[in-house]
Amino acid sequence: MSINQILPFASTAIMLGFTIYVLQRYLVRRAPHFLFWGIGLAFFGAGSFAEAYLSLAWNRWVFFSWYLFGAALNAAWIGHGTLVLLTRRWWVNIVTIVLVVGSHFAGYLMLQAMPKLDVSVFTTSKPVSEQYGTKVLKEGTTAPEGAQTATTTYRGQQVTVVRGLLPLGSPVRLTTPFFNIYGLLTLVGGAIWSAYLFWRKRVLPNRVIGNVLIAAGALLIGSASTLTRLGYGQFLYLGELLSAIIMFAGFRFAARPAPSEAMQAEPVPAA
Amino acid sequence: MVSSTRTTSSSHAPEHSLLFEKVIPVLLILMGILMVALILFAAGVLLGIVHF
Repeated sequence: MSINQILPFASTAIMLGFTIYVLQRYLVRRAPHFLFWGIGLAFFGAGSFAEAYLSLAWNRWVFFSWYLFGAALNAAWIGHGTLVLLTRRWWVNIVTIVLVVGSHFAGYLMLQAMPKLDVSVFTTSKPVSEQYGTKVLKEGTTAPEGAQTATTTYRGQQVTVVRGLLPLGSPVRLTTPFFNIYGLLTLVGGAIWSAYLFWRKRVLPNRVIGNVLIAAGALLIGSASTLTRLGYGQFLYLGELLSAIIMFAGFRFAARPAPSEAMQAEPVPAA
Repeated sequence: MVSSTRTTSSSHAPEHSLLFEKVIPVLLILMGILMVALILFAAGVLLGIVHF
């Protein structure tokens, strides 16, 4: 077993611990942001596990889980938890409904794509993130080394494609950027905003550092995923593991009781 | 009159700390820039400007 096959399992184990920790908090406090964070982290863990599994063997439902929960939904659900925590406005309920309905719709589109998967291109020698999508090869460009190409008709034109697991123009792929933009804005933007507010007031330094770590962890996995989709997949598994560690550390840091620098004893009149 | 005690805790960022005075604000700005770059990239993919 290579290090690249071990790392995603380590990330999965950390995400499992992180998910249990957050869901336990939900069960104690019943605050809805813990529930959204817990669901999003469970999605992240499912995606990590699927990635680990697909580095060893093929299974179409594991791929379903990887794409839907790992590539599409997890950041949006974690980020939505942050939005619920920071904003108590009426429109958050509408966003919640849109997120739930949109997630089910993405699941439906993914189910539609399942019978059309081109399983013959799958290999365990590359991360699944590098082989899931069929891409049109532009004129004058050459296919990456080892890639399988084919000629097909797309939107009335004859095109050469680099074959991938999902067929060209799969509608489910159009939903992913919406979820990821929303997830980035709310998860990273929310953590940066929270860190800034505490930093500006010069209070609760543990929450400043905790939110900086959460934002850094989320940006790390966002950057590693983007680099992978650009063909630089060698950072992905390490990026995922570091991201899981940094975000968990950030969450623990932000959630721990503030260090009491100034414990004061005040006389309280009693009847 | 009987008096009891109540403890209140407060926590402030340490003064004259390099971490809080310099490192944190720079990190927040850099992370904000990276976040915007990633959002623009995702929006580019969505609009078909970025092919990958």
